[in-house]
Amino acid sequence: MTLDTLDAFDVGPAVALDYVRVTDTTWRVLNATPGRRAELLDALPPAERAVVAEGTSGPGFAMEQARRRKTVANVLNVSFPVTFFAYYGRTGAEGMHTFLDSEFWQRRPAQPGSVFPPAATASAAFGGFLRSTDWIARQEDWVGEAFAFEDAYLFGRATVDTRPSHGDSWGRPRLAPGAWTAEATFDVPAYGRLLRERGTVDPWTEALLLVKRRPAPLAVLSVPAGERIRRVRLTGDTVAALRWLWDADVPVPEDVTDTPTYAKAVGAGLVDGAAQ
Amino acid sequence: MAGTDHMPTAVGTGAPIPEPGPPGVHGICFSCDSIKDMDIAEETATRLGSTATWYSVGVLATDQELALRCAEFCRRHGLHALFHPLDLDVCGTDPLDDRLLRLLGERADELNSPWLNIDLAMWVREGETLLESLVPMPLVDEAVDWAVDRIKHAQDVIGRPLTIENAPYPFVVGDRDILTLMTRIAERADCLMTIDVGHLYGLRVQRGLPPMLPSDDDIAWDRVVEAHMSGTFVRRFEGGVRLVDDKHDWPVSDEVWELADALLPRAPHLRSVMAEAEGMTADELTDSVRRFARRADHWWSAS
Repeated sequence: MTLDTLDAFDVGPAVALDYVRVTDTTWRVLNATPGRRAELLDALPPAERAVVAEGTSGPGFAMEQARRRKTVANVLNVSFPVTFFAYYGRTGAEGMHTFLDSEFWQRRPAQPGSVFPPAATASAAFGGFLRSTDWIARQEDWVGEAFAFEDAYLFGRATVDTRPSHGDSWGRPRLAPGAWTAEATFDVPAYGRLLRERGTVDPWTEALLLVKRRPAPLAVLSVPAGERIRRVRLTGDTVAALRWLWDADVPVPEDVTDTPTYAKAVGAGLVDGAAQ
Repeated sequence: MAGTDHMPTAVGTGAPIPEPGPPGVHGICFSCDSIKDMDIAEETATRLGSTATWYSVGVLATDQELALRCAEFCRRHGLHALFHPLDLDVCGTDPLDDRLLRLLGERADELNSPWLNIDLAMWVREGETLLESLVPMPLVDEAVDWAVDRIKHAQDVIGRPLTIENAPYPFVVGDRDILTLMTRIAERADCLMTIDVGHLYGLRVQRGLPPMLPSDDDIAWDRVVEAHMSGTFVRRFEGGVRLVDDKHDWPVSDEVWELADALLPRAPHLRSVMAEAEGMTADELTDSVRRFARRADHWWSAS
């Protein structure tokens, strides 16, 4: 007897399978919605379809899919603490697979040398995915506000004020070069922590309904500092007092440079060209 | 279709297995998370003294600093290192990366590991390491050619033998027996084998098979140099479906001990039995290794 004939599962005629296609399709099915799974299986030759279909069904596979959702969720929970809590809480596994099936995830640029899933590209993919759908628009306003804050915090670009100076002798003070702002009417990171705490005892959907957002103006200014980004957190009245610095539509208050708030902004390195 | 463009032919098939590793050394191996839990490893190694023989080191090819730290840890405690790379991919679909293989060879040299242990699974995809998202090798005949070519090439570039391990199978694509496929791969690639007894038990139970099969008589036991064991967690689903999860921080179950008792004495070159223990406290790990040492005594009889 040979080793092959001893194989307990050796049934049916031998048809050569394409190992790479079988392995790659298995990988894809692990992240697929049921509909996408059917498409992926349909694309396989019959012999491979039978093997992959049988192997990617049942409770073991469902458990493995859940485990893999968790590895991606672990990353997005950190980068989008409120938005992802709302998205995953309200759309569940189906919503996660919709994201993982999207071109934003599927065409996510690989980061050779990183450990899957790399935070930077996974987060960029999720942000792009949400921007491309109407899911945010269908939620309460605060979800959109939280997403705008978290998206800007992660991926915000320099606020470029292209307007000419106002013709006065000193010109308008500007935000430090390359800096950008994420702003919200409530403390988004603190709210994320409250959601998580509540989510340990209640379903996430309930936590989203029950945990209140206390009005608390917040602006986080991100200032490039060499290879790193320095984050400056402004709260309360300071946000309104300094908004002119990053919002070109807000007029510069008179004698602003004489105020303690301005001095603090200069001290924090937020103002372009101002002596600290 | 092979996984690399040019395959060396330096290794033969069916040749006698040379004595692997440091002469006459066999015993219990333990592992910890090499990044987070080295304090537990230090404490455990101090308490164990000569009860443990090996220490399993899981590092990435580029992490020379961690490899050197682990090598020093082994020297300080009189342990031999066994290198378990986290990015060596003999079953994946990316082309093998010779630069990475050379780095793995350097890490193995630094650790003085007699071989490199690798689970038969896809470990890397598009250059990203799938540490917590491995795809176990599909159990199909075509896996043999694919893995053999890649293992031969990896061994040639790394300059040390590989030992291939049966990966965990939370789901199973394909219907072949894992030990049978491993034997076919190991004999053609002229590599060594590691039996993870818990993984094997789980796979067979999930398929509704007995833990031991008649085909186990024909496995290349002379190529088995390592065994791994850990706790198991059984989930029961409708229709009698059972899933067996690996639990490194749980004690080994009776069923897995029994399977080890039945299989491991067949391996004449068995050199290391690893008490997998990530997540255990120093107390638990120390007890676990001592239990292994007592229980494994007769497993060395053939070696």
